[in-house]
Amino acid sequence: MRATFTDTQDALREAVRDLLSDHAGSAAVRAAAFDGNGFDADLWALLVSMGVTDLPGAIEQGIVAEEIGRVVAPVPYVEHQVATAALAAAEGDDLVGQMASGEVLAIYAPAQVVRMEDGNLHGRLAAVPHAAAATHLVVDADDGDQRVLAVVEADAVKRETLPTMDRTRPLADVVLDAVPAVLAVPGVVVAGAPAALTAATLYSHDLIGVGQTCLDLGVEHAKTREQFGKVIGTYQAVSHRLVDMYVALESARSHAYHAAWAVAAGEDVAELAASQAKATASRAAVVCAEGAIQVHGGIGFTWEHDLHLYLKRARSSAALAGATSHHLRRIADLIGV
Amino acid sequence: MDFRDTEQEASFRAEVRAFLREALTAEWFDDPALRPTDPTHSEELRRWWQRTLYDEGWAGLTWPTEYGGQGGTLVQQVIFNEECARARAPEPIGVIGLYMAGPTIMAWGTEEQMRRYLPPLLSGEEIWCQGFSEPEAGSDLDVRSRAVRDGDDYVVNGQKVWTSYGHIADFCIMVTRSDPDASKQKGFTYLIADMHAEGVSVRPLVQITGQAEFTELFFDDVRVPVANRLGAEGQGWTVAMTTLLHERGTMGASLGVMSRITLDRLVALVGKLGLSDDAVVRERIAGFQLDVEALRLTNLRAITKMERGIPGPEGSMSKLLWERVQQGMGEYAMELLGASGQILSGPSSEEDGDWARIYLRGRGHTIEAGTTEILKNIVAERVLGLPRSR
Repeated sequence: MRATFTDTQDALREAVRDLLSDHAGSAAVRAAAFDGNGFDADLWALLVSMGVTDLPGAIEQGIVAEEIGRVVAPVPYVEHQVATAALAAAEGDDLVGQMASGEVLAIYAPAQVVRMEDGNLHGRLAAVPHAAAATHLVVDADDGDQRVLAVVEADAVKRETLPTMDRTRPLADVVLDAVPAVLAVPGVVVAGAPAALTAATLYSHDLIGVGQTCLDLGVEHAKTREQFGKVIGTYQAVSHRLVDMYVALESARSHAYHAAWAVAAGEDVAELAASQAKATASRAAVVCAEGAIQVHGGIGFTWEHDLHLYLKRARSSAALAGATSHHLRRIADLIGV
Repeated sequence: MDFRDTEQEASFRAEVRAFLREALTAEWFDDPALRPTDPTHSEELRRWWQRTLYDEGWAGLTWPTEYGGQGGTLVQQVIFNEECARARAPEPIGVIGLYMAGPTIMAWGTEEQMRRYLPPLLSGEEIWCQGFSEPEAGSDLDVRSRAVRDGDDYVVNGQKVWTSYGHIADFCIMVTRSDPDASKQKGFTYLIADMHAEGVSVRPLVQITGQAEFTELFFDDVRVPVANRLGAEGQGWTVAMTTLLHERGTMGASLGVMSRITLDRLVALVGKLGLSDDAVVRERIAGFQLDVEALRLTNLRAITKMERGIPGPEGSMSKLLWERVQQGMGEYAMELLGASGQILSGPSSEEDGDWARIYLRGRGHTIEAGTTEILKNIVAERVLGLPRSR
């Protein structure tokens, strides 16, 4: 039992953090989110060249996702890893190799099924994250006889970008009108378990990254902002709220790291662990973001301050891969209530 | 990151299981009177259990062998706690000694003190209690019990309150005021008082549950040898902080086990009440699962990080998490049980009124070992680095 990271994993975290601090500061994130389409292609290329799409397992992927969450970087890392997990059954295929090398940027639209006829796909996928940035889409399809996991080229589909609250993770509806599948893996169950576990686990890491920055900003503000002649962090109404944020976040962090280990090691407890992680992280990140805004007062409510980026990202990550209520239901099932 | 047992840990776990299967009889598992969460469950049983642990080589797992310990690792302690929870093993009688007095003596005691006190503390032959709080000294540990030097003794006068096990204790770790004019940080001295010495009297303190789990201690010209001092004269505050860190950290870690047992019982209660299909109930139970597991996992992370076995201020976070979930489960059981939760014993009661006792006892969880408010101050200042609030 060793509930900590290895030196190699620490080094990975440091390398990713360095890269993000150079290339994903507030100005860069805002430029991509508000002047661009919510995808920082240059940053993605840098991350890919570091090898983040070809990491051994969920623990390493979680480290990257957490660091990306800390700066709300507008890149589809989690989504690409989820697509990779979904296609695990097709391992060995060229396309899967290209996903690992980052040549292909694939997005999986889980839990939505389209129709497949003569190798062509028909249907509509709602609110697919980062669909606009994708080179390929992975979809669950029904060919009349069985379920198929199919891959299509993104250029062949129609993508309708949606006006979203979180601009660091844009959503688009996807229309498939007789789009040919470039790869089809028959017999794969909808929302395959590996993809669902990866999604819940990695979004949890994104969320604890988001929550940590919010907590840090809140604490920093409470240490420096003066009112009534004292820094506001001396007031227990303020400091105790920050402690509540810390406790929620550390609980979520424990669950997230546990889930990453369980998924990576293929433990029986992986499904329970992933649901526990997602339920706690969704709550913690929102608690931290909302709390940080409250501690900041008026400035935290402005467009100018970055906190709204974090609040919106927290809400977006909380909503994906199963909201808290979904996971609570799963947990009750799994612990035998 | 690896939450699995290593090979050595797995074989240690197997040994623990074998021991527990042997030591705890079948009746133990079946007899509803033997309940680990009930503070009244037999003193005799708990004495027997500690003696058994000692004789079979399971007491003081992480303590040095020269003082009767096993020289094991913190992870082994965790495994042992987990297995005891699974087996619903009783709690040893000498918890104040094991979790608070012992670690403090190891941190501050002389070689002679360690050899004198630690082995009988481990075996349960000698029971310890703690004298910190006073009627006028609660969260603000502004101790008034006086210790006046007289030759080779201190003469102690004063009153202590909220002392668990005071009525059966042989020794008391106590904070006294040796210099009335100095600050707390300089005016306290930490002593080991013999509870059988002349001038010590003990009065039971009946609490909200109707039980007397705590006592009040009165010291009337009690002579405590200078040789029984831990740390230097005037260093009592610092020594006391060691005890409190262990109270929240070491003892806190063992309390996670209590929460696991309570949650398992709550899940069983939900089934018994026919509420297993109630979506609202299921969601609440899942919420408790999140906290109980967070406590366990956070403790494992802390143990991996812990150096030299002294818990950091993060222990305060564990205690915050624990008191919330433990109290919350008692509250929720009251809600689920409705009127039957009021019945304290007899055939119409549910589990002999245990849930009412768990609920009422729970009100103390957010007060004892540092109130919620004090613990939040500690986390704010020591973990988050916020300025002092007072």
